[in-house]
Amino acid sequence: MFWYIGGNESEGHFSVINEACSMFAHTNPLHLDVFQSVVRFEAEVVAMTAALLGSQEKGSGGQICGNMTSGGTESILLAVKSSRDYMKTKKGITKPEMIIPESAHSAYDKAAQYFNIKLWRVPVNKEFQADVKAIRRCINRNTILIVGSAPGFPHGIIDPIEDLGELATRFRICLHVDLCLGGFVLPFARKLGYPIPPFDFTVKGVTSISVDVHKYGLAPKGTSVVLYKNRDIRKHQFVAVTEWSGGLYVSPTIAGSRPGGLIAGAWAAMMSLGEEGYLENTKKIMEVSKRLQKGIEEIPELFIIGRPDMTIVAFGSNVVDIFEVNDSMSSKGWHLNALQRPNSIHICLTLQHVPIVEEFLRDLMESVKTVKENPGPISGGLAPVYGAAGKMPDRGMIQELLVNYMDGTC
Amino acid sequence: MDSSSLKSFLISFRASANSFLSQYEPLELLLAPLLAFFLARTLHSFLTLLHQRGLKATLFGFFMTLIKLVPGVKNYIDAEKQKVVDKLQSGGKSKRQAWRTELPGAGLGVGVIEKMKDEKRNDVAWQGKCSGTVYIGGNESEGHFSVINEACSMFAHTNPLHLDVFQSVVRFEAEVVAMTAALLGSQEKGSGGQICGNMTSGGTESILLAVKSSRDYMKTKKGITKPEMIIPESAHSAYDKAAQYFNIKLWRVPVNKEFQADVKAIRRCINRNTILIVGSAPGFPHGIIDPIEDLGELATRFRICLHVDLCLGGFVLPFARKLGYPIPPFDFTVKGVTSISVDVHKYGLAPKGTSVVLYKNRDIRKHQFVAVTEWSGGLYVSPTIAGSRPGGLIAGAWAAMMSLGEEGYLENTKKIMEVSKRLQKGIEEIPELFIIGRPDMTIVAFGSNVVDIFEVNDSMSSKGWHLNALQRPNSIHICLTLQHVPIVEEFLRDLMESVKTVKENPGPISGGLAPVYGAAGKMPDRGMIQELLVNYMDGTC
Repeated sequence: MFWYIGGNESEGHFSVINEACSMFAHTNPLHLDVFQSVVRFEAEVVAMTAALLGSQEKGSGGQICGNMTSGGTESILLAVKSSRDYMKTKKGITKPEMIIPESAHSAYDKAAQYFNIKLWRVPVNKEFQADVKAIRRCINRNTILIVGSAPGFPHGIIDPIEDLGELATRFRICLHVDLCLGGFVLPFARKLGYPIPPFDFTVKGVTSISVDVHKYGLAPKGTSVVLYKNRDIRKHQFVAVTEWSGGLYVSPTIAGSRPGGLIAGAWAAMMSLGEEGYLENTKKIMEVSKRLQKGIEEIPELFIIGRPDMTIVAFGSNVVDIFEVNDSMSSKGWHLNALQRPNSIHICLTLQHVPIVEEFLRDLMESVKTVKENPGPISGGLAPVYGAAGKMPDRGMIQELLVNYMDGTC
Repeated sequence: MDSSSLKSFLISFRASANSFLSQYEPLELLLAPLLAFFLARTLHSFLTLLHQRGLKATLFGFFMTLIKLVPGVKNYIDAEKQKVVDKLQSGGKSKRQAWRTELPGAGLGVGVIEKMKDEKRNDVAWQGKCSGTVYIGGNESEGHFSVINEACSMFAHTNPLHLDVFQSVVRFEAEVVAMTAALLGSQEKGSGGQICGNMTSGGTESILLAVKSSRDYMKTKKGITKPEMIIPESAHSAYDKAAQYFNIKLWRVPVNKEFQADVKAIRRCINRNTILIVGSAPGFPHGIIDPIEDLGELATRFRICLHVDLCLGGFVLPFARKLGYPIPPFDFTVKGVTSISVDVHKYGLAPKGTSVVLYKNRDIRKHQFVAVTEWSGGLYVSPTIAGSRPGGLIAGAWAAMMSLGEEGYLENTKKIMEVSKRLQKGIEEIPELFIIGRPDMTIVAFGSNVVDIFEVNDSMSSKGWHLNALQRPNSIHICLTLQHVPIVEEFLRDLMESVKTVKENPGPISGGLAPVYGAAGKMPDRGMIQELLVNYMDGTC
């Protein structure tokens, strides 16, 4: 499933946020003086999110600030851009480089391409976490930024943020913590007693964090938050234009005009749930994740990747072709994510899955059985494509294939 | 010359050169060329800086850096800057102290809606009083607004990142792009028949993507690694943002006497690193269409990209042309145009957050996509800036275009063009004011040689109007939408009164922004103004 809010899209929580969006559909926070309500909603969403991530704790420095963005990708792009310009001012770096673990989101590649930054994608360690030693070896005088995910999208595992923080402090570079997935789960999971390693602004060395409100924050799609350690770094996010005959212009994020309705929807989501609501939801999804993990562990042909910290469970197989299992599950109506290195698939659990986890496990057991008894590609399935892409050494050709595929869809 | 005489010539040359150079130390001979090389490089960098910023700006920048080194001066300047920033934010700070900083313990449930209604009442009365801002006519809870809100709600759960799951939204997006492209000549013979594009989150994203694609396309086509782009002074600030983000050198060229892009001046800035020139149809400041055909010729001649900014004009000019208004060529039928940006959320009357970027052909557009093959999360390809996107807005844009249809847009365009002509005439009748250039569309900019136009702006603000303050020359403008159709006479009355008030009592109005705008215009240290703007934004959130 691809939405995080539970229930039907025309009832309950959805109704509340839809009404909030409609009420403010005419607003545009570019016009600060006209739509004061939306300016307030945005500031409060950012402040409430920052508070979840240690902004009010002593160890964070008390200067945490940030903005709302259109999504995780924009939050990441802005964090990278700000770090690039901040390090240019601080250390005079003109040929910036950034180092990320192999499990970090593809948005960092996008940032590297857009902003002319050299990207190092470093393989993970045996526990599928960021390999701090290997990252250390890639640091040079042009390095501006390293990244850790909490958790990473592929396997749902939290990187060693404290160790990365030490590295960042020692070499005086920026550390961005990707909490796009975990921002609205980990603070509550920690409160509920789950063993969660440190991940937020209380960790020394963290300079920026990205959090998606539109995932487990249950806000409308198109709402995320980017946060910075202090205003000195964040100032590099802003673009000020003084030479335009259209007047003096300053813009905080990527967009100029923005849909105020979505900001109102995010505020409505957070205020209607409150801390209690999030704790309740987190309890449900953590329990269903543990149940699912146990269920998969009971299928002997499959193995779980690493030790999932949250609501994503990735699994592979040494016995059957996991992509054929994926095709079999697709034919039963399931939409899972195909991963590589190693070849595996994952499911990201949300409130939508709470009632259907047993059904999922049954279908999964059946798919594994089917594929084991009849190995070989399923007609119309994508297993051969995924398998081939994994084996092909010419990565440039795969890039072209992907571009041509996208070109053909629109 | 035969080989033996050539040989003897070389021998004698060598002998005479050696004897000439023997008067110099070997060390001198080694160091002199190196020194000359470094001097030449320094001179070249300095001359480039001079060429770019102008003699005045370079000397001034140097002067300012020296001044700031004097102890105490920096602190004084910072204190004065803070005063200006505080004035701009006047009163905002105390309001912000009362804002929430943590999640409430217990959720408000559906009660949150009532709270939002209260908050909404704090908004200013914007109906019909703001330049641009809201383009849909009428009340925000009825009519067209209702239709698009319902469409958005119906698809609020969708995300076009998941192409296989939300086929409906994929279709809506493709149709919005195709319908928009058709308005801009995609179906005409002269356009080449390969027009393609995508929906984006707004005009800025469309512009950023067009610039990024042009940069990467020209890198492949011409091997340009230090890209430069040239834009008229009237082009949108989003091009500056693109230049900063994507490491492109930007030339902002002053407009000509008609306030249009100065094609000759742009021509002079073109060099072997130029990747892109830009024309607006119309430009935001004065609502004037640039000479797109001439720019197209330039782009074709020098084999560079030409982006036409139709963010404002895309949903007006095609219909205004049909209605018989004199509109010069501006779309893909003009030779040399490689990309166009169009905002559906302005005169397209779609929900905020919807725009379209179009390209001449798929070869250029491919450079917009980002394909990632080395992520353990799988194979990933993304068409625009965002990854996940709100499918609801796409549905709202489709609903807007389909519910209006060509007839609806023609009717709306007729109304706003007529109200623009009425307004222009009304302003021309005020002797103290002059209109900037010859507005082609729904934006009318005006200045004054008799009164301080920014004081007029402050007076209008006190009457509830929100207009845009411009510079070079100092002026203000109003961007007319369906919201203004019923209030144009009221506007003209208030404007006449404001001009009268300011003429009789010249001098800044308490709490007004005229001094700030005026000062910013005169200040030669542009870097300081940039810092002021950044500090102002920093203080608001």
